[in-house]
Amino acid sequence: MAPKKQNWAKSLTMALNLGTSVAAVIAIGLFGGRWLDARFQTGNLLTILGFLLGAATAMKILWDRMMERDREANEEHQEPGKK
Amino acid sequence: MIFGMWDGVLFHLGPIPVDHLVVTEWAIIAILVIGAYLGTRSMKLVPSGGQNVVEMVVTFTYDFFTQVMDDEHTAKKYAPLLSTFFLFILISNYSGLIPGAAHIEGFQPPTSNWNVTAALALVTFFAVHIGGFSSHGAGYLGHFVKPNAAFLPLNLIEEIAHPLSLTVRLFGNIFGEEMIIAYLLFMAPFVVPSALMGLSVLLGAIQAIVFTLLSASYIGAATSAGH
Repeated sequence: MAPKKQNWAKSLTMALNLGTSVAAVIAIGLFGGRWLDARFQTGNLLTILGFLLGAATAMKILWDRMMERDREANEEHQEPGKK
Repeated sequence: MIFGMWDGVLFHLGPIPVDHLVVTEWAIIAILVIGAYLGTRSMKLVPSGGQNVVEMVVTFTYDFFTQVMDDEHTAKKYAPLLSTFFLFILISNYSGLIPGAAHIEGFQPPTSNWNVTAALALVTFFAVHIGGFSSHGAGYLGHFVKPNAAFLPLNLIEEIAHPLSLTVRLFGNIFGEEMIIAYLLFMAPFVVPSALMGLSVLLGAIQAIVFTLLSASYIGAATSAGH
């Protein structure tokens, strides 16, 4: 059986999405924490917490995409057996 | 000029100030409306001339968004919105190719102003969540607490990141590009800026495609059955 045609548009979107989402969530955590620190006079505490929260979100995004790709790969492998 | 914003107001519509950028946007909207009208005013069962081109573009658009969203019905539903995004952003980006456009009021590309890119990203944001609710009902809220409630803050940050990244990417690219061309035009007129403007044709199209692709991806993810 011929290999399944790669969905280039979806792969491109996933690559674009991954890079920008990871950068954006870390930036939101970091700058959000910095803004809260300035507002509540809490030193660097909320900046650090915000950064960690952003980094955790970035890891979650990476994990989700990895699982999604894994699921799609499994579906592709199972398809020939169905016929 | 304050960080990509012209403060020159042309006139007021009631309490709302109208500046050069808004007028440029109206001109772009007029171009799109007139183009759509001319392309579809005398539709025939057997297409010919301009109708052929329009039908080809529409068919390509449906196929392309079906690939990105993995669902033909959703792709057809959102293709008009996404295609309008693409055309509006493309023409906006290209409106800055007039030499020195960044320094001439009225010729600044609207997408080099973060207010415009933020507005476009907000449209995507609302389309994503309205699409999510219309596809899954109240069950759509469940995806904010996946895999469990402890992930709520992380999922909320992820949702906020989508419009933010759309806004900053488009604004940053177009604003930066315009500034570089303007400074090069000042330092070495004609030759160097011309080469960079050639590159801008490609970059303007890429940025329009990227914004549209990501919007399609976010909408597709929110409306998909596996969400």
